[in-house]
Amino acid sequence: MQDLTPLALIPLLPLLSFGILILMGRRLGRWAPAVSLLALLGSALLSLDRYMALTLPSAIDPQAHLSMPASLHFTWAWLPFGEHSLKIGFLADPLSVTMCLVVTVIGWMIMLYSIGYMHGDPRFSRFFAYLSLFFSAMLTLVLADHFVLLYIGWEGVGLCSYLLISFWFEKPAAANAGKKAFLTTRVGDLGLLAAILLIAKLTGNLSFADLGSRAAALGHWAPWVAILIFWGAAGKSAQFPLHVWLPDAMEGPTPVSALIHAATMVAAGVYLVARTMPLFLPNPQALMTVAVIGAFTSLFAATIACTQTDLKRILAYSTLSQLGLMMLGLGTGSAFAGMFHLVTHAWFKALLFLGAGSVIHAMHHQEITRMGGLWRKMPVTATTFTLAAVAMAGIPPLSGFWSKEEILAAVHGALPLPFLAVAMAVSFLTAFYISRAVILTFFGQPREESHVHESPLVMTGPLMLLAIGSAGVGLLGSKWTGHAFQQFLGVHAAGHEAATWMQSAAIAVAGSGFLLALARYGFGWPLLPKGLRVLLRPAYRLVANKYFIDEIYEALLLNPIRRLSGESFSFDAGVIDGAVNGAGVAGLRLSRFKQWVDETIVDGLINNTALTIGRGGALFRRMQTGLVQNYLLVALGSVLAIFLLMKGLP
Amino acid sequence: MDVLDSPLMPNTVGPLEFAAKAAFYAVSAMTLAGAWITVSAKNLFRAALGLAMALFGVAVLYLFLEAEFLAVTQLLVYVGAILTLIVFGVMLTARIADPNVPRWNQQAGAAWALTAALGIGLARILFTAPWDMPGLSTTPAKLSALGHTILTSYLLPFELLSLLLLGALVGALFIARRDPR
Amino acid sequence: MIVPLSHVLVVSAGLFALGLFGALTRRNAIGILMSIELILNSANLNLVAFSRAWGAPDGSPQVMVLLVIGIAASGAVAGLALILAIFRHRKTIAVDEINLLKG
Repeated sequence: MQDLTPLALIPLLPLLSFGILILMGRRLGRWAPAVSLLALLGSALLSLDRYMALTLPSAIDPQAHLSMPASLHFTWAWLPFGEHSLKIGFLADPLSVTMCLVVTVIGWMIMLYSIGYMHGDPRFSRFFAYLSLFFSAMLTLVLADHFVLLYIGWEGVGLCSYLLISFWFEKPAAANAGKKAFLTTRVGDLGLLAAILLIAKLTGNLSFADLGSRAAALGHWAPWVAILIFWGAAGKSAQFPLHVWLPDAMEGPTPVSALIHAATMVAAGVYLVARTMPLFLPNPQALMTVAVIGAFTSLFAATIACTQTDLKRILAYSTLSQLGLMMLGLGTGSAFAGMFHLVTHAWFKALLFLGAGSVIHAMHHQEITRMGGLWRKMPVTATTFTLAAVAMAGIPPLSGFWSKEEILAAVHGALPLPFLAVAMAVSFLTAFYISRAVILTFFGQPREESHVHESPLVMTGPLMLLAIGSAGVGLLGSKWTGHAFQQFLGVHAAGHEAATWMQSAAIAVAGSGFLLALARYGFGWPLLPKGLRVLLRPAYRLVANKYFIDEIYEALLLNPIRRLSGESFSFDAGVIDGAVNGAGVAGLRLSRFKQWVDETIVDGLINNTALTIGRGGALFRRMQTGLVQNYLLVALGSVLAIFLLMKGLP
Repeated sequence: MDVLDSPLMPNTVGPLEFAAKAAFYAVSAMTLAGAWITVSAKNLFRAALGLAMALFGVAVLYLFLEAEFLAVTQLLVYVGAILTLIVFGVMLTARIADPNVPRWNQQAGAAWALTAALGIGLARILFTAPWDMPGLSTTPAKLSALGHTILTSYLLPFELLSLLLLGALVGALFIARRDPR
Repeated sequence: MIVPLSHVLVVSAGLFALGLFGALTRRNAIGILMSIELILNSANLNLVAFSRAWGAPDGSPQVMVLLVIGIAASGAVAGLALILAIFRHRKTIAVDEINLLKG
């Protein structure tokens, strides 16, 4: 088992596929996806193999598993400098293997779906090349055993996210969204980079192994390091105030939204916090920051999601909200709650996005107000989408229920009561907005004439597979399977068993959200009296415009920067250019004098020389006939002449 | 004139040896005549035939020098392949029988003088220099030894040559294909 | 050897001189190519003559000749391809009409 190859192959196979596709993608034509699918299948199987290796010893001897986790850890020196050396290492512990499985399995299905969705695109093979590069970077991020390698993967997925959001760069909106995503996440990356540099400076060791034992060396910097890491995670996972890029990222192709901006990449922030949890645990301030930001983002995004009419944007804000929930779970100090929700969320959110993609593919627009009654025409899409919606709303026994319940229990156990209230409110809003989306899209009467039909099997197939996962994967963390997932991650589930009243409350809250949505959008009952509605209109407008965050950024950050640039320009033009011009005029006068000297004295000399050379050149120019045979003849004559000079006549 | 004594060249010249010598000089003359046709014929096709004559003559000279393998190779590669190629080139490009096209350029006179000087000078050197190198084995190389040498000490150049040929092939295809534009 | 070494060398020198003359004076590119083949042959003949006269039991001079033949072949191939391309381009292969080297 000391062989590193299988572990290193997990990220390398997609990289290889990227190389093949980028170089000869056009030749492969419609067979291009086969390469990337095969490579990713290889990665998935290798991840599965790691998973088996991890579960096997625990099955034989639970004690041995607890004392010595069967994680695989390999390093080799990469860049030696001085006494230190930068190492490349991969770590396959339960956390990373879980992520690997999520990324590869869900990613594989999304890739399969993309064949149908991207069919006929002029850059078909390029799309799969980017996807492969993304998987390579993501798996590097997940498997990295130290911060630098993680950072490489981190920036790699950022790059791929940029490339894929602006994949249709002919659309200005897509190109701008890509730029926005890249720049906003860069702001977050800066935090992560600062944290990495601080850790390197203070502890001299960037490995993830024994992170907890080295946390003490950070001294009074410890909370700041943790918060900086969370700052980076917030950028990637689109937490307030760095969330603005994610809704815009929906300009990319829908499989990309599903894969990168719902299931995997945005989860990287959650993964990062879970991975560096030992740095957070000794610092209550840092944990509280995580919890507060998570809770705020969650509630904030859930309210926005209730007002949007663009199907993908609803899902985008819902992703923000769910990521906030995960962060809230992590803020309790338990890596498990957040990670579990990450896994279940990856399944149902990928399914929701792919379902939305299927609808968009058929309708050619994304406005739910113009849809309706689609379930007749697209039964598979409607069924699976609804299933995913129910899973997200948190209705047992579907997956969302179990993970959300886990978060609720953790929040109740570790944080003050307002946090629980926020989590409950988010639950309610989640059920409300997703029911609204489902009802408006698939049920009722069609609001517009359209000739839609069900998507091809290559798209509905992944939908059905993901539906099975969305329904079932939560059971792994339920008491019915003996908390298998908790045991796998090495968490003692005993203390966090959710109370029955809380389970009932969660179901009740979700159910009421659903009923409210049904009443309002299914039957068209006005929920509020007219006077109150008029009164609340400003509030509605505030929410519908996403709390004007983009506008605030525009006014507070971008405009000052633009103005600053303008001022700098006028400063340049007025003061600096003035000085330069003054110097120029003085220089000009001096030059006039020098010119006279030059022209009469220096040039006189130069010109005569040049004239002589020119005449000589004209003479020699005749020799340059441009005919090779001439040159050859001269060469022969020269050789003979030299021979004669050296030897005399033979 | 000749100071080289080899077992193959007995001092007494019998009729067979005389015939062989006569054949050698005849073939040499034919070779040089072929070369002259090559460089002087107005009609390029005739020049190619002259080249064939010269190359064939060189092959026979190889036989006289007991390099049979080279003689065969010379026939196969030069006469068989390169010459065919050249003939094709002639037919594809040149106005071969156009009497208005002068065969030589304006520098023919100068070139004639210089090359004649070179040839005469070389001949004088060749006839006067002492070529005797006593103590050297003068047995001709066996074919098996030749093969062994190719595939041991000269293996790398040999393989490089095949690479060069491949490169020339691909390059020629690239250069000579019709311009797609 | 049935003839003195120098006689073979003189034949070789004659081939060389004629080939050089051709290379210097031929107006036709293919003619130049053929002349160059003559020069190469003269060099080969030299090699074989010396190897026969001075002995080379392992036949390495002959290997050299083989290599030269191969290189000549590739040269002819590339040269003819170039000539074809030039002909197609300028409708002539008279080298004194091809003076791109003239500045």
